[in-house]
Amino acid sequence: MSAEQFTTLLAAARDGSDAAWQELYSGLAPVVLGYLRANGSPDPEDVLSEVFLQVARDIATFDGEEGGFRSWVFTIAHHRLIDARRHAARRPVELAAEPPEPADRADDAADLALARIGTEEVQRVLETLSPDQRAVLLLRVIGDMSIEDVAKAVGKRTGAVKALQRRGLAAIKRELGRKGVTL
Amino acid sequence: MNEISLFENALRAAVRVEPDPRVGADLVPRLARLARESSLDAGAARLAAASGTTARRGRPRSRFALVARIGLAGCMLVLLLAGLAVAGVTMPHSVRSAFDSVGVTLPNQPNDTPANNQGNATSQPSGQSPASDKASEQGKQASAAKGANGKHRALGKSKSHGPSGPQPGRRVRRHGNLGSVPGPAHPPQGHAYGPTNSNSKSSGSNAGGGSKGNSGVAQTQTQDTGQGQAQGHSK
Repeated sequence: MSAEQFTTLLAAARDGSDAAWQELYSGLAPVVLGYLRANGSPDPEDVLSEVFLQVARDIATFDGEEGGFRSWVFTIAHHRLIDARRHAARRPVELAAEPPEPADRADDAADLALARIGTEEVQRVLETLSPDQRAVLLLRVIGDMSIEDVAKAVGKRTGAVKALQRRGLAAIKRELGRKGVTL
Repeated sequence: MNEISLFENALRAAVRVEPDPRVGADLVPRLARLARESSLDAGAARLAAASGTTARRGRPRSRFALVARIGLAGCMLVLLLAGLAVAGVTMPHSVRSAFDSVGVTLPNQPNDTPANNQGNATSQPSGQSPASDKASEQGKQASAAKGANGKHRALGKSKSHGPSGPQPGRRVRRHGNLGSVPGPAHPPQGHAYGPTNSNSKSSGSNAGGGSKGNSGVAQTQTQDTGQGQAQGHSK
């Protein structure tokens, strides 16, 4: 989506266009829901609704491009995730009982490797990370957020976010090697 | 690094979860309505803020208030200085000249003649030490001993409240109550230097206590005061 298209879409969403909101929701809801699930959010569908309700309430105050909007939505999602965890009173992390299959598969070697890994393996590897490492990696990978945006979202310094990312990636690599997963 | 990049791709694909379409169908109209309402609220708030900004942008009242505040502070300063002068505080020369320039003469201020300025300048022994006081006291005693021979001496006092005001060079006859008679322009020989530390002391003490009535004496004793003190110090 070009910058002009996104600006038009954002203006229509501010004016209350159903079509604009349908496009925004369909584009961001899957990844936000995946982020919430991967982080062990209690009742992720409910948290997803809360995230988009807050986005609708505050969209009049947002000013920026598409990448900034995506980071903004993920920041809200992270904060709502923390609230949901507090409300759930430290329930144990429960990932999705039946993780969905990958959305689409391609014919290249990487996607074939992905198919071998499987969603369950990804979820299992993510569980080996600390909550902070998982949040940072998911925001970086799924949210396509920069280090600075992730630092703002999780309320940490840039150096701390870099360290969390480095340790998280090292833990993933170590876990993949220990289990003998061939990528 | 290859494993990590592949894992990231797997993660992107794995976490992408399509939400329940029924939830989306119910949520999207709510989102649109909520966004419309919040945009209207934000627009109203923006208009209110803009009107407030316009009201502030004129600022004639606040600017006038600033000028008025500065003027009031200046008036208060002038009144404060005048009040201090009425209370008997000697104002600095710059303050007096500022008042004089606008035609206001501060009360209870010394005359601004050059002679007075010189007398004031030399009759302010700001750094007089106890040792110099002691030496001056010795000089005073010696002077008193000489004065006991029937000679009169200048006491450093003048009638400042008389109708004619202070007169330069007036001396007070100590014995006889004959009133003050005009003295010579310069103190007599033997009183001026050395033992005339009494003059220097009287001048010094008068300088500290105010120069209202001593202005006339100070004219004649100014030079002597400095030398008498110098001798006292040398002792």
